[in-house]
Amino acid sequence: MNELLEQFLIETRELVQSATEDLLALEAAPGDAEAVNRVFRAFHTLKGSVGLFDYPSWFALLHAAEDGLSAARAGTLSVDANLIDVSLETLDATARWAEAIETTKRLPDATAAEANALAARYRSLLTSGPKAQLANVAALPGWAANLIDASAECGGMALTAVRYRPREDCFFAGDDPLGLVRKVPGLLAVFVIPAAPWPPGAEFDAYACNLDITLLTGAPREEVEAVFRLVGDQVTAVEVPRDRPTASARAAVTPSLDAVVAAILAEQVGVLAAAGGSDADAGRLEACARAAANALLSAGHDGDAESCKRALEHGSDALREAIESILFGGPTKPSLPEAGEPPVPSEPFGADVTRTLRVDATRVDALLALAGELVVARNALGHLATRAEAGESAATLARAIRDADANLGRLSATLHRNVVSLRLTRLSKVFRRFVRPVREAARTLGKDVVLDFDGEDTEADRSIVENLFEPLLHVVRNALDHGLEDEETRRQCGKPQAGHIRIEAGQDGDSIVVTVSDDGRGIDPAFIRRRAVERGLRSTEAAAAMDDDAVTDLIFAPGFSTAEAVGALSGRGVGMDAVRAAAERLGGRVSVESRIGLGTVVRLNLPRTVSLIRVMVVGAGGESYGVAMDAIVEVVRKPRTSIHAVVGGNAAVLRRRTVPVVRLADLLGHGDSFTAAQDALLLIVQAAGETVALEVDRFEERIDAVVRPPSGLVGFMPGVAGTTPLGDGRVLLVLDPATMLASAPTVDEQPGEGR
Amino acid sequence: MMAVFHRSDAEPGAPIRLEGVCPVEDAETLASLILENPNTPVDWTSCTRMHTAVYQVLLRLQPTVLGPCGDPFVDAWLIPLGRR
Repeated sequence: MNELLEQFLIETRELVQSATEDLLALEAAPGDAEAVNRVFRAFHTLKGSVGLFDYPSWFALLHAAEDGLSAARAGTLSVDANLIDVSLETLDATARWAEAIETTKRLPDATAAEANALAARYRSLLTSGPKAQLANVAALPGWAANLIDASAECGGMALTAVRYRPREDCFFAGDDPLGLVRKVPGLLAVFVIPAAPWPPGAEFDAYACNLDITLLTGAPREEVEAVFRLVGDQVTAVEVPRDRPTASARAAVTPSLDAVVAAILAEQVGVLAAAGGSDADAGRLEACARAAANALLSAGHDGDAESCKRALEHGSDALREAIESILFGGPTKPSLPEAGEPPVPSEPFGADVTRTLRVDATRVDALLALAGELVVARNALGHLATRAEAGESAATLARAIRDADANLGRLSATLHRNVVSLRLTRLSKVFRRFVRPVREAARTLGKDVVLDFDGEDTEADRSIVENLFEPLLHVVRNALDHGLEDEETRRQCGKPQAGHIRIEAGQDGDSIVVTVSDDGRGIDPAFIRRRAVERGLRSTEAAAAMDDDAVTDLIFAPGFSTAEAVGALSGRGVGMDAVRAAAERLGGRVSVESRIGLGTVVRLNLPRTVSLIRVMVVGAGGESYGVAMDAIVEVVRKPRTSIHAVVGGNAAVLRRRTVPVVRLADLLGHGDSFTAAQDALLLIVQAAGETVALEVDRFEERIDAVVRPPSGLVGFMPGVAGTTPLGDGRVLLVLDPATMLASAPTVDEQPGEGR
Repeated sequence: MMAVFHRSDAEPGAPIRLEGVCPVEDAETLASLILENPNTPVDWTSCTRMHTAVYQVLLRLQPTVLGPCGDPFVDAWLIPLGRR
């Protein structure tokens, strides 16, 4: 794949992600102008990058999206569910198409149709009739209103107002902002003011642009936008409707009334005037009075609102007079552009787009230093060879070789640790992906959910982070579907209406802990007991004998699903056992804690890195196998006479407890490779909560190894934790005794502890 | 091409002159000349075209400007602020 395309795909993913987040933030707080800006800029950049390639329909869609968002930014299109939905769908499509290009090098066949449909939705948003037109007047941004006020003589014409805030570094990009303004046709007024207060004199930087340029022109918006097309992300253009309140009227508006309230009042005057003073239409009259009063109330002009209501009783003309007197009554004050919005510090351009930062430079430096040490350590070996050739005694040489080996071992372990740290990725990458599915799931279920995160800065190996999403999503969906009660139940329990789901991460020694907690109904052990018996997972007696924690843990058992009905989300036959399997595949474990009525906490403990582990190499039959030292509780040598045959197998007494003894060779199907050794060699391991002695034929050696996760054919074998190459070139299978014993059919029949 | 002139042997108070096309590079020269002697007026009558950066220096440092600006765009649209 060529580099440009590769960069494009990376950037597209980032932009889609950040724009999705901003859209969701906007959904929660539609008034966030900065978020609208960020979304617009993301779409603008996306459009620009797509334009580098030959994807016309995709480009056209992004162009339509940009138009829609540009209108939203200018305040002529309201940021509502329609706009957010179509924008999210566009981002979805964009992500899908990027993926298709990555895998198949081309866009899917249906792209054009889908793109056209989405683009049409944007267009229909932009042309949705007279109602939108009315909103235009009220929603004229403050700077545009000021601009019109300041250019009194152009009333009655259709105008375009433009605000251009050049980037701080625009001079370096070769821009001459005023040079562009010179090209604007039909110019009526230009105002240039500092965008932010000038920095103190000592820091004078003649090449940092700090200008806020507003202009008014009689040319149509498209023509004006064409002039600024290369700096579209820095420009906002608004059409000023023909029937706007006249400049003189606006200039006379009581200064304490803001532009929106004034526009609403002016609109009411217009409506009343159109009604021709007849009192026939009482409904319209009342509507006007109410609209005016509400607008005034919202701005805190309670007295004026009251006089509007009073005037209503005296008919149409009285009301019109009352509104007009409020509108133009106060002391006049010409508003110049600099009296308008407080200067906003120029936006930190580029700051919100996270460029792919691959590796921290200090980590590379540390690696470089280690590589240097490694070279020195290797030189020591040459020196040793010279000493050997000189006929030095084997004993002293052996010691020197051991020292060199230890030194090299230390260095290679450190080197490995450092290289591993290069692969550390923040969990925020995973966390951010939850916002969208949770929103959608909550919508489907009709539940109100607050999702929050903590510890996104926690780092873990990329392979862990990348594989965390699926199991975590499953847990989150379970919390949403089964954990959180519906609104009615929550109200009865005295809980806040919105359910709360929290995803937290933290580091715990060499592992990371990720928890998903909800404040839902919790898990009822009695219910789980009943269900476990129904599903035949446990006998009635066994279930009754288990304590509540062990019972709760049964939700992770294969074949257990608590949903009464198959839920739309999680009840698809995949239970929490999938989560446990995934956690174990990642070398971790999962546990659950729950309190009835208060909520549930699911905790995943996962390794932070794929690290060097100590492996013990043991022999079974003619083969060698590795067992991670972590999995071995202790190693015991016992006289064979102390191992007794009991019903269904063998057992030995170990520290006054009876433990089942299982031959590794039997488990592996090496059959009757009976050894007549005097002593039995036992690895004591924990499997499914029980202590089991695993009998091996030989202890061979202990090694440090990078265990690769099982893949290919080995991946399907239960009980194989991974593989590692040995010093002599053989490949060692590293076993996981716990899963091997759990999946071995004979083990259940082995006598258990204490029996 | 520099179009900002200030003779080093000029008498105190002699204006800084902007001539012809004043490109972006002139912004720094102009700024340092004005900062050196804040009371020096700026004569912009012979400037035919001014880059935004140059205009920004004038907007920020507010020197006394002499005569109408030779750049018709600045003269037509930006004078009120330039002279403030």
